Amino acid sequence: MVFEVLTYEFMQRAFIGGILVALLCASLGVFLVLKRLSLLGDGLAHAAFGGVAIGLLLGIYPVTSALVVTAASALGVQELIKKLKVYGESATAIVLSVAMGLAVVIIGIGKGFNVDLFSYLFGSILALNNMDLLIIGTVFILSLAFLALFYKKLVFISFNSEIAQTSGINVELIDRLFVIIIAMTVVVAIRAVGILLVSSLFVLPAVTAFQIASSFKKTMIYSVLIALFSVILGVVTSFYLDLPPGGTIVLILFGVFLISIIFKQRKKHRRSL
Amino acid sequence: MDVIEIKDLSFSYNENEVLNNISVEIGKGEFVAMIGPNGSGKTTLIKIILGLLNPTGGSIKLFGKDISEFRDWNEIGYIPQKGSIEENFPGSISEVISLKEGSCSEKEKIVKMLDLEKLLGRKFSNLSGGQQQKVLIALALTSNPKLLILDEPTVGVDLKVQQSFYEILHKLNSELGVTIIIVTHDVGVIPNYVQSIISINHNICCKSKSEKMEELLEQVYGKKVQMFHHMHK
Repeated sequence: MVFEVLTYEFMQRAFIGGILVALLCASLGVFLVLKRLSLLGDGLAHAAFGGVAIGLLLGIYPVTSALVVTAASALGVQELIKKLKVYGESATAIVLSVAMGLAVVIIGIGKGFNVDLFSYLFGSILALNNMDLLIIGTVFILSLAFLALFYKKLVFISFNSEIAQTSGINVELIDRLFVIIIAMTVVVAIRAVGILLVSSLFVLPAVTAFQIASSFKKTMIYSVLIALFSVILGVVTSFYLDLPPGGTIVLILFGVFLISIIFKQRKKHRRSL
Repeated sequence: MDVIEIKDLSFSYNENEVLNNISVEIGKGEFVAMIGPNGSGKTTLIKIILGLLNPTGGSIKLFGKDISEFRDWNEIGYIPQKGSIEENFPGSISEVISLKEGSCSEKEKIVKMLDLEKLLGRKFSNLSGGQQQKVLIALALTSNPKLLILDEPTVGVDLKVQQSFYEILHKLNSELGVTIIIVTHDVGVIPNYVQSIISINHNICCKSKSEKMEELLEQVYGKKVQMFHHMHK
């Protein structure tokens, strides 16, 4: 069944884009959840919406303008948390609402591009073009390099940032780079699942992996495998059943999460017997 | 050479003065308790010593070097307040212990000394409070530090575990010569283990032998205190 769908070029692009986005979101999501910034993906996706609207208004490629606006918003959230001691969720809410306000105003000004914006809101993994794949691939390589260079330090900071800092780690620099990588990932992920569903790709695989993994390494591996499984199954299912792919992927992710909870509860029950 | 030399140190959060002109010295191999009421500036002082906060006045020397020039952070092991540790951290104990640089043989020695061998494969978040504290000590010791700083390490830990915890610290200090500073409210237990006590309350900073505990407590808490010593050691 999977081989048959691969005969279509748009499905090949959907698989390549989906797999890269799943790998990125699932691995970065583990750190995002541990930093209690689960909603950052959602907030930045809304910032990306503002960026897309600016791009459409100015006639530049919307992903480029979204990358700039989202990266700036991510650093803004970071500064609000660190310098002004605003809570993480409040900082995210500020960025989210300001970006949405900006987007709504711009949509009002440029009345003609509402249809294009719709594809960004709900995603269109089956409509990924070669330019999209090129951008997703570039962000994937950059993020992979970031994770390879700073993996151990990121784990240490997730455990306790003060111990990490007193061990000589430049926590501020790594935190800044991390939110920029998250911002870039959000922008490429919204092409696949849309602005409204992007945070699910960061949060659900990670939270599901937390239920069943017995070490950090296994948490990362399970998170990635769960995201890959859900994206591939979601794309195939949406193709055959003619369903929206973004929503299908999220519902499969949620299904896997429910199974992991049942698995954990049964394991706990067996131990108590 | 003193391990820590603090001179005329001040610190303010915005306009709230937390520490005002305090001076104190801690020598090599000392086991010191830092006591004082809540909000007296103990944790702030620890964070300044660790370079996590910048003082608004005065100077600090670590191992003879001004803190701005100090780079050998591996010589300092730090255990923060329990609440600041990510309680849902999904890593195993062996993963936590390997977060810091250090030789494998040294880490094995520490694991054995702290009796953590059987827990290595378990998840940090599944351990009891006492076991988690032991893991944090192991992490702090992996870089072979000369100074160990602990901020209220026994909060929420039962008396039996507290006792074995203090005995581990006593062993580290007496056998390995590690200088230890412990911030604590366990004023009934601590005089049995430490050599000196530093009492802090904003602009008051006194250091004296642990036998003079009652005088110190009166000075920082502003109330007469009578100690009833129990057979802890």
